[in-house]
Amino acid sequence: MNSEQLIEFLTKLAANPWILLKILFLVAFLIYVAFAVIVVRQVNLMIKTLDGVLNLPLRMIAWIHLLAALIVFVLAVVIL
Amino acid sequence: MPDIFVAKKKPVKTSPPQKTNALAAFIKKPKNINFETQEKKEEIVLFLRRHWITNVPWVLVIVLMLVAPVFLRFFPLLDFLPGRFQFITLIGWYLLTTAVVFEKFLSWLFNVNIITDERIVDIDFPSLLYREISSAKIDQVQDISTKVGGFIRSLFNYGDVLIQTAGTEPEICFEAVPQPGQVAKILNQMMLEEEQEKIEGRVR
Repeated sequence: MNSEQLIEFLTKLAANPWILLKILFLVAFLIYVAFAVIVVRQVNLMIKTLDGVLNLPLRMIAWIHLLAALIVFVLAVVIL
Repeated sequence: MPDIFVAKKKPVKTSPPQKTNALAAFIKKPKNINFETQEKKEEIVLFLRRHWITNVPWVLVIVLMLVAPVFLRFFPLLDFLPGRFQFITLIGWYLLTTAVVFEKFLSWLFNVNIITDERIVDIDFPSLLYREISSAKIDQVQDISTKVGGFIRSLFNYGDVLIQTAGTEPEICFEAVPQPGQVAKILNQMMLEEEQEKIEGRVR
């Protein structure tokens, strides 16, 4: 990014300060999506360690949770 | 040569396998539950996890988290934000609440203590993607003590079972398990059986 682009970006930011908040929200939701991926892996590890305890429902909940996190991230990109 | 003395085999009092309720905290001889380090002929005698009452504190926190957005009507903390940001914040809050519920539930469900016919196993998941499995053979168990203290623990009959071992893990603790006296009794019985097996030279 050269100095002109930086100045243009800062001008935009000054005109609409909510852009900065939007970026913060998106970063937070991105971190949440990463967390949801880890939860899926965690559930798989747990089921591998202890087989026979609600395997299918737990896997389903973990994947639905990941899907929800992705949907909310996309929603934040569109709405904000 | 006929044997002069043959010790009578004591019939071991064991209850028939129970129909497994996956959410129970005290299961004798569970069906359809296996753990990763279980050997082929190894049978689970007792399957334990923390008493369900230990979940009450975090359930109360979750209830507070669920109703917290209602209080925003009386204390408009987010009013400085545009409507779209308020909406996304609310969705994010409920997503976070879901994650806390799921994590707490998983922690309760998978932090278990298992007594098999050969050893005791303690499976812990202290944090994300991290697990600890400690085990000790029954014949390495040296001392068993139970700890039940306080009003709630006495009322719901749950407590800690501390097992001193001669293995690499000097102490294994079954935390807040139901019927600690019964657990200690079963462990003692298994230790006696193990000693009997050693005396008779029976090796499985």
